[in-house]
Amino acid sequence: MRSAVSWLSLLAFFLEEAIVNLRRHGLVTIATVTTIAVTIGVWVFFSLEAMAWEKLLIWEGRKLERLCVFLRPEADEKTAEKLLEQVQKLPEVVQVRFVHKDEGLKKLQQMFGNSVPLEDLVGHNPLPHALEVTCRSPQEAAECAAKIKRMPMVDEVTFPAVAVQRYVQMVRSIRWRNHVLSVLLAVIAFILIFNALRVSVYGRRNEIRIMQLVGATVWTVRGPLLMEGLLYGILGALGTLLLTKLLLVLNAVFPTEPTYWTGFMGNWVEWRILLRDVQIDGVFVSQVLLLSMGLSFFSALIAAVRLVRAV
Amino acid sequence: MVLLRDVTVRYEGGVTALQNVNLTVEKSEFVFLVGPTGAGKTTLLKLLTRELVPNEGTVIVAGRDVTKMKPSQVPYLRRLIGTVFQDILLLPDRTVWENVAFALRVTGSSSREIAREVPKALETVGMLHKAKSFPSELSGGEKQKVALARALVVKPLVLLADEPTGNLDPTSSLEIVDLLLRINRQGTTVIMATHDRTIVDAYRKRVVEIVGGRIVRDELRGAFRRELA
Repeated sequence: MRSAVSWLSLLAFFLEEAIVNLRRHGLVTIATVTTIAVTIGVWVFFSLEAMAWEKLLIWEGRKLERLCVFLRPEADEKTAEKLLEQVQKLPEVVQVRFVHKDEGLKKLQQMFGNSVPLEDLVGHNPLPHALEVTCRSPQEAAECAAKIKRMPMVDEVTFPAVAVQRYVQMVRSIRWRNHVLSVLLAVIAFILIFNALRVSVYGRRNEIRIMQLVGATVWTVRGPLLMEGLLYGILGALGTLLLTKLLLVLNAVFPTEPTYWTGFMGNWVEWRILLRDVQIDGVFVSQVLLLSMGLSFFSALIAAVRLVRAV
Repeated sequence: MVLLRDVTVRYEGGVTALQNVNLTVEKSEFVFLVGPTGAGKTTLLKLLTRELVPNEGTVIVAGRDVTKMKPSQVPYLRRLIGTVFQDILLLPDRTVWENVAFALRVTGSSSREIAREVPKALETVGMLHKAKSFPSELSGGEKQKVALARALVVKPLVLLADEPTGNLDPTSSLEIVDLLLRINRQGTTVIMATHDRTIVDAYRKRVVEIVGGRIVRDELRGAFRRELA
């Protein structure tokens, strides 16, 4: 068994060798680190985007979760209260509010403006009593509406069915697009790290030959490559943080109203809107570091095993 | 220390590099391996470090059956064997000290061990005064001495030298062989493949001659060429 001291000196050796290599192949190092930085940057922004959309949709969704239950014209307030109790018992329902037909008329009047007095026009209030039902989520609205529809004294249940469907589709498509692009970027970063290490192995062929001849174990030969991968990860994370800082500064210098738009690959949010939630704090830094080092180390591990075979 | 029994090595394409080779080298022996280029000398040395595995036969080094060894055990075999070559493999961007220390660092030695063993090895080959020099500042003979120090620093039981004087002038060549002999007298088994007739004839050590992949001569105090009785 190796002592702690010899492990430490071996680790120091890996680190020295890795730094020598990063310096020796400066251009390759810069290209690799930049790619990792951009990859991690885009990953971070995708997750921010997902959060931004969810925020937007939660807010919009509030309306989508709402059903309007119109009672039959003959239903009185007592019937409405009974129905309210019944509806309240449904598991999908969060809140139910009784809307008196007079209140309904007032709302309608507000919508049309005061220029046309509705009651005067018709002679009486034509609206039935209604219930305003809030469901747990837009996805459950349709099912909830169907259940309420079957209840006695219910005339009609309205809810924005098309909007609900579009909302569900949109969230799904944004998630898919981001997953696909994330994986693509990770593959590009992996290929670059692999090639950087291939260059490194070529540059170190004499070292590697000597190591193998004097009896270094295969993992000792691979060690400097793994360390190189870790260093790529750390440098890549620093790059991402720098990039984020730069965008934050730009955003502060040129503030504009954020926008959402639909384009070739689905719905997009302008980067500025994502930056509203960004803060370069301990959590953000550690997340970026973990992602970057994880990606780089994993790539380096595969490269080291493929490029340096056991004897 | 070294035992080859009925060893045959065939390269891809059907070329036979060694055929039915039997050889025993005892502990602390000094052996010159001679023969024309392509005779199989390097192949034989590569069998001992397990850079090659024979198609047939058994190779035993320091009591270990090299042919049946798992890849994970090979590094530990190589720690028992020192190697020097004609193309002196020194790292150009490291000093003499760092080149020798490299062998210890990669086998997990502590800084204390390195600080103790590197000067000893450099002293043995007479290169301690050049410890801070870079390989580019050294002559061919000096470089080979540094390579020898790197092979010695791990305290090998067997030292394999493949044409170590191939690129050196006669004086440097003699210095290197003198060093190998000194190391041998301290108990290390030395096997040296060489083309250098002068050296083999001058030292009169055991000579094993390989021609066309077969051992054709094995003399205890031999010359470079077979001598008529």
